[in-house]
Amino acid sequence: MPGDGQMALFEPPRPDGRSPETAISVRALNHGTQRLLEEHVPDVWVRGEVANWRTSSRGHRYFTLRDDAAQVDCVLFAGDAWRLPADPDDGTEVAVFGRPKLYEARGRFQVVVRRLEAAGEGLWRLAFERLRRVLEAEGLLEPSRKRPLPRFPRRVAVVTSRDGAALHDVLTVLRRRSPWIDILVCDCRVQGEGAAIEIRRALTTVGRLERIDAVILTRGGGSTEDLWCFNEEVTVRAVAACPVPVVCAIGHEVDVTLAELVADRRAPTPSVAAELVAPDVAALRERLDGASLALARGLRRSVARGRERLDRHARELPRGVRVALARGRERVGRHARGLPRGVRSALGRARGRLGSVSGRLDALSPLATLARGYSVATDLEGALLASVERFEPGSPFLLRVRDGSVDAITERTMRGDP
Amino acid sequence: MSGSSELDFERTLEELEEIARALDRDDLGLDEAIALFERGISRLRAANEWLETASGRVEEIIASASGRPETRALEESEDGETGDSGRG
Repeated sequence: MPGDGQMALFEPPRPDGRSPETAISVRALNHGTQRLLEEHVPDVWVRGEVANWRTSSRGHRYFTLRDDAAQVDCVLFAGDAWRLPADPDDGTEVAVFGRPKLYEARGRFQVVVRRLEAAGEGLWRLAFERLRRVLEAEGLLEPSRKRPLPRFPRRVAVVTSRDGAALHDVLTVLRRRSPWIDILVCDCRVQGEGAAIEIRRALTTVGRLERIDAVILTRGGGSTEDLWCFNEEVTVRAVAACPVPVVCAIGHEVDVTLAELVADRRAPTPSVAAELVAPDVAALRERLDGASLALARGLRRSVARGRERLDRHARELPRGVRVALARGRERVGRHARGLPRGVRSALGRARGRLGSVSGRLDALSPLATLARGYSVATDLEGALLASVERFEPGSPFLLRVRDGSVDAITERTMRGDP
Repeated sequence: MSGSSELDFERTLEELEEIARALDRDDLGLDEAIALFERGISRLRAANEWLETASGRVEEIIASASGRPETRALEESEDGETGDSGRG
């Protein structure tokens, strides 16, 4: 210090505390002690039993840590206390990590705690169970509350961290299985202080959007602490209040969070959550193919039935059948042009069979004979007059020729060659 | 979604399957059968076309000052492929 040399002459000698005359101030005592602590005692884990736990209005936690021989005051400031899943009951065995420090103003020795852990995952389990019981009492875990997922969603919201692996997995599966789905990503932090508030904000935002069919709330694996925001009441209640069905997948399969228990569906991983929401396009194609085959089969059967009927009638009504067949053939041809290939070939075969039926009819029909110049005599009812026996002199009959019929009268009849 | 996105695919598919079932009935006349078949084919075409062309958008929601959520196209970050990042 540059001024020290010049000023030394005018300053009183520094007290050294070895006599009443050189007594040091309380402030100097405490400050000196605190400096010693700071320089020589590192941050340390200390274990003991919690007593006198209390929370200040600003969220700081004050408590005593003790064993059978000693005790020390501890403080856990609000900035670090958010990590605490639950306040421990007095008597809980815990380990705290922090810095031993002298609070100079009061000369109080204390540990400024940055982390507090109960044996195993004691506090996490405690907090989880406390909230789970509350949710259960309110009926929020009832299976009857679960809403079904839409069978054919068009718009899906994904609430997760924009930078997480989970988002990538979800997008990949949604696009592969249901490429038509509109996906809306709502970014939020998914771990750390304030994450629960962000998740709630995201779910509220999504709930206000129109025509959202389902929400996927997800994040990838992590430590119990990383996943903790999905056990916080803020998050859990936001999931329960979401107006659209929520599928929740947090961490790995072994991790179960309260958000997942309250959600409409729980999935073991982000990818499975996406699979639950998105119908598989391949399955839809199969259904279309199945329907296509059924259409072809149905038409084929109807045509076959129609043909049977035609065959039946053809034996009785040769002329009408020809016209009907021609008409039917024309119609079948017209429709066949619009058919997919499989159906077309089926119709081709059907048409071939229709052709052979009508060919047989042609061969049997007297019309073909008439066309060659022969005529046929019938009575007025159309019954064939094939013998002189059937003609009465003076009686009328019909003579059917290629292009019509002639009214005729029998003059006389003769046996033998004409 | 874009293109023929207005089609109600699910309903079209159900109609198509109903038509296929109706076409399977034994007491069906040829005229009815052909009419059903034609309707079925038109549904089939529409559904196929929709399935081949419909493609969804990927957007992210951005909070706006008005409180009304707005959206913009999502640019996927590369971090997404590198496993769990700090933000999980």
